[in-house]
Amino acid sequence: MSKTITKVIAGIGIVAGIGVAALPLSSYAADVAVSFVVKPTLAAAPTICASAAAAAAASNTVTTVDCTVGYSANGGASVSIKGKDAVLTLVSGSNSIPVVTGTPASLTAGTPAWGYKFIATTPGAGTGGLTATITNYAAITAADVTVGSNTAPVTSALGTFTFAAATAITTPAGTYTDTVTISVTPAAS
Amino acid sequence: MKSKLHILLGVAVVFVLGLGANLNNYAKAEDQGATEASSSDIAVSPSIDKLGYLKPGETYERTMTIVNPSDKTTSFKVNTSSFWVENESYELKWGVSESQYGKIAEWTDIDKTKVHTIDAGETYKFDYTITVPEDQAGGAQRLMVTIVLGSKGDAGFVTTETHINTLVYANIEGEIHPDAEILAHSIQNFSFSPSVVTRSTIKNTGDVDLDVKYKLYVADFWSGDEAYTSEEDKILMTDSTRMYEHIWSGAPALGVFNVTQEITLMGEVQTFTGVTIICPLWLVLLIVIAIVLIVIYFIHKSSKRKKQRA
Repeated sequence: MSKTITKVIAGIGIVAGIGVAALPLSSYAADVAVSFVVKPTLAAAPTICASAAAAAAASNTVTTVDCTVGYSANGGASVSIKGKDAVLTLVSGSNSIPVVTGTPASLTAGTPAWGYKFIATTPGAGTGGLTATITNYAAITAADVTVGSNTAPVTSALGTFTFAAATAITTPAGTYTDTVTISVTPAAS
Repeated sequence: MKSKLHILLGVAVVFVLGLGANLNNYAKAEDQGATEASSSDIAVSPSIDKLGYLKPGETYERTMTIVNPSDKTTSFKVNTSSFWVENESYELKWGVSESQYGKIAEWTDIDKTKVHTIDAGETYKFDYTITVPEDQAGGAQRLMVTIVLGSKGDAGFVTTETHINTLVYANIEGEIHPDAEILAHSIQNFSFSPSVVTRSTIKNTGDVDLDVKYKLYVADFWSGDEAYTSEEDKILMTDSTRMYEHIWSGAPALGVFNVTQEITLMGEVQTFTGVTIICPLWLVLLIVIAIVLIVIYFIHKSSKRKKQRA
């Protein structure tokens, strides 16, 4: 019994010793006093959109548009989306297409609605960035919905919004539009 | 008996050597601060502008630098609004504000209808002025200046605008009442992960935005040698409570440290001290198992002797 315990303790000690020695620790860095001022900077690309149906959409269909957004920041920042104003429907004169109800995986032709989803294609070099994924279609809102954020510098984060609009056979003809705002905002310093 | 003692002694030596090799091996972490815009990004600087104290009746000129590193001409408009924070995590909100702290947008001379154009590869200087009214009462003011970019390509039924928001902080001179209090402070005493964390919660009870300086000093518990030093400047906005975590995320995986945090608030320095032990979970489990086995060993040995005597 004593021999067994001694052997087990010895084994644990060896494992602990080797484990401690192998812990991933970094080495001292030399102090070099180099100093210059870098102003807080935000960079963002204008969204680049590509409509899947460049021509006017027929009634009783689903039309999608992909818009790519990118940003870089040397301090904390966030990216968010919202409707530009209080009118969240797609409007054509006195006619409108409502925002989607719930969070469906896809829109259905014949049921007028519109919504968006988001996928982060490149989180960006650094910490954080565009990491959120909204897999199902959601309604655009008047309040900002955050799709990415960083607390440390991030470079060249990229993501794609997919906007979809479904029409019914009874949807009146017209040019339906709405404006969304994608904001890149520094964190409170 | 002697051979068992030798084995235990050997094990202890291996353990201590392993421990010692690493206790003297932690890093002084370096802050990473570089930034680089991608080829298509419009870079706006400064994204945060702290104006300090402004005098009523005075006009202040500001310049914003906008760089277009792409190979295409880009145009933009400029808009203004105000901003504020919600909750202790300082979640930023913005828009038109009726708050007494958002009036600065009305005093800012920016033509919101003008379309500015930047050629490919060019740097554009955008100037604007802020004129503080003579009769403006003292206190904080916050301005958001937004660069509004249109979209490119075929957007179909959706028009997208990309907004690059920048924050401008100012305090107006006059009858002001700067006041704040530290509501809570803690230093994490034990951590399984390689990090040292302090948390502080400060409430601004006055009417001006305040600068808070956080200094984190970490020293080796045994030698007293400096392991890490970090200073962070944060703003504490009026009508807000801010919880801030000062973290040394590059700490070694094993060690004992004296932790000191200095918080400079309204010219006064408050110091908090504590000890943080960092030890990975697997090592804690091994130590506990070893202690249990040693206790069992001696109990067993003692009972064996009693039997032999009987």
